[in-house]
Order: sequence, then C-alpha cells, then structure tokens
Amino acid sequence: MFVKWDEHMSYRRHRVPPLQRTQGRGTHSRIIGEETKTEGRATRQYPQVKGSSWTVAGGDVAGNHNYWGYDNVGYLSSTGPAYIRSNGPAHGVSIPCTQTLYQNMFMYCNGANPTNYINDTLTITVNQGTSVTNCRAGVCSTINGY
Amino acid sequence: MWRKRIARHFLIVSVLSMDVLVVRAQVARTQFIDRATINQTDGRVSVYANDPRPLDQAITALREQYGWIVDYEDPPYGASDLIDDTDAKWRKAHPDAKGVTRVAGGAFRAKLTLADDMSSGSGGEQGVLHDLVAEYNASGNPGRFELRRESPKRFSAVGTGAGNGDVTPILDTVITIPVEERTTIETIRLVLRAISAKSGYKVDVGTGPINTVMTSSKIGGQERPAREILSKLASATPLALVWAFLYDADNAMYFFNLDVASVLTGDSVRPVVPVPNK
Repeated sequence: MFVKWDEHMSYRRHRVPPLQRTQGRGTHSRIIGEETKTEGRATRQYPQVKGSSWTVAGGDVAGNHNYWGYDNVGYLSSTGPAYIRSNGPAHGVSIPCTQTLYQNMFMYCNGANPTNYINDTLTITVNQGTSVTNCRAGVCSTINGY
Repeated sequence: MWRKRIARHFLIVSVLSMDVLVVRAQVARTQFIDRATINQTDGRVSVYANDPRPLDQAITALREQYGWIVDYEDPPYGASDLIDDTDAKWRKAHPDAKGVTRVAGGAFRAKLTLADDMSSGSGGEQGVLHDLVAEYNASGNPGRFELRRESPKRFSAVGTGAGNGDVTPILDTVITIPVEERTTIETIRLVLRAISAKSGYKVDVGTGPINTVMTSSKIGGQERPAREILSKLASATPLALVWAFLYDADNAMYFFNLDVASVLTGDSVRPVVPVPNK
C-alpha cells in the first residue's frame, strides 16, 4: 500500500537570454514558464488533485512528501516567445522550437525508499506567429497571443 | 580584367574572414558544458565552469551542492565583453544584417577552502562565495562582480563592472512599490516596471516556476533598492526562489529569471529536491 507521493520536475537553467543552441540539440535552452491565468487558475491551487479525492496533505510545506510541486510549462509573459522568434534564428535556433522537460512522480511505500512511479515528458513549443503549444503526456493545448 | 580579379580576390578574402569569425565562435560554443563540475577533497572544493557566463554557472553548481540561496545579476556588458554569435547559415541568408552577440566568457576554474560549517547562511558559505567572486574577477572573464548578503540566508553576486568601466547595478535602482496583497508575479511585474522607468533599461520577466509565483504575499517598499524588495518576495514563497538577472546587449534589455533553489541529494532516483523557505 502506498502512503506518500512526491513529484520532481527536472528544471535546470532555462532562462532568457541568451538563446543558445546547445550542442546540436536544436532547441532554445533558456526559456520557460506558464501563464497560469490562461488556465483559469490565477490563485493558489486548491489542495486536491483534480478529479479525485486525493488530498495533497503536505500543502505548501516544501520538502514534505505529498506536496504540490512546481509547474514550469509555458511562459510568464509574451515577451519571452517574442524574443525567441526575433532573436533565435540569428543564433541558429529555428522556429518552431521546442523545449523538453522531464517530470517524475515518486511513490513511497510504507516508509521505504522512493520508487519512480511514472515519467512524463512535457514540451513547450514556440510557434511561428503568436502562439505557444504546451504538451503534457502527449495532451497538447495551444495558447494564442504568446 | 584586373579590376574583376581584384574584386573577386577581395570577395574571397571577405568570405574567408567571415567564415573564420563564425568558426571561432562555434568552436568556443562546443567547448561549453551544461553544468559546472565540483570536486571536494582535503577541505577544499574545486569548481570548473565553461559557459558564456561562467560565474553564473559556478554559483549554480555550488548552491545546488550545498543547498544555498544565491542570486546572480549581470552588469550591462559593453562591446569588449561580447563576441559574435551569428549562425553561419543565417549570416549567409542575411549578409547585410547586424548579427547577434553573446557574452564572451568561457572556462573558469577556482579552488576554494571549505569551512566546518557550510550550511546556508554560514560563514563558510560567505567565505567560499567571496573567494569565488574574487577569483572570477581575476580570471579575465567578462564583467566584475561583488558579493552581497541580502538576508541571513540569501547572497547575491552583483555585477559592478563591465568592459566600459564601473557600473551601477540595475537592482540598486531605488523604487517605491505599495505594500499590498498581490501574487508574487504581480509584484515582480510592478518592480520591473519601476526599474525600467527609472533606469532606462528595458526589463521584463524571463522564466520562472509558475504556481510558485502565483502565491500571494503583502510586500512592497517606500524608496527602497529594487533588490531588497525582490529579495523579500523570493523569500516569502513556499519554495525558496533564486534569480538570474541577465542582460542581452543586442537588445539593451534585462530579463528577470527565477528558479527554485534546489539541493542535490546524491540519490539516483530523486537527485534534486527544493530548498525549503524557512
């Protein structure tokens, strides 16, 4: 029987500037974020997993198990994508460009060491024009005006 | 006829020169590493970074090694701090365009003495960071920095000089932000707008952990340095935040990037965990 969940998202050095093609990966290396208001969630998260009765008991106490992790999908403002579109190609970054993040969910069984329960791949794509496409586990949504 | 030959010769020389520049920039780029390496032996820690901003990379590795909270702030780099970073294919398609640059940093090594107590906010942390910044300033890499303590557990490497000479750090800009309940991102935007209005630089948010910056706090200040207000904000969220305030010389623009302060666990399953904001 599992007793605790934990979440970790790989999030390292994604910033602007510079636009830096990293060793042929062909993606921009420093940009990130999600405008949470675009998902109708401009305030603190409700402490329950959507669609279930699971209560996130750890609340906002960082370092506790069973707490809300941090979410990095998308952009904090439209300036970032606009910057990538206008400056990226000269640095060798082609548009559309996609950034990939890796997310894990861990399961703690009766106080034992964490088991990696599931992996998820998140992608953020800056499209031509004024839109950004975010994908979680293959489910994608495109936000216009970014 | 001879004019045509000279013209063709000049064209070939020009193209070769351009290619040499591009190749030089690309060779330097492939030497970069994704993450600074750290080796700890006999009471000393060696750091090796190789990045356009090697001090930023070294600080990131150290703070993740020890669970520290350290911010980083670029100086406004001048022409002598920059190198051409224009992509070769793009250059061929845009022969008359201005092109783009990056900060001209590269390899940086430092060997630092550890103290018995290396916990966050300790004298050991302060000593290592102080020596790191001093070694960086002597390394010949772009920019000059100084270490500042922002709060008991928060330090900042602040850019105070560039190729153009001494500079006033942009987060020294004195601003007023009403003390009101707002989300962290709303207050950050107000701060950046105020900095922009006073400093003349374009300033905007870059990247950050979204739901963390959606938490609310009641933070502001009357005629206070912007850094002080941002420091309070970054210390008021559930997870400790660190910032990298990076300058893009091509656009004369700063981007404020936030990251969750993390510490390495040594565990292969769960290698990194956030630093709690206590």
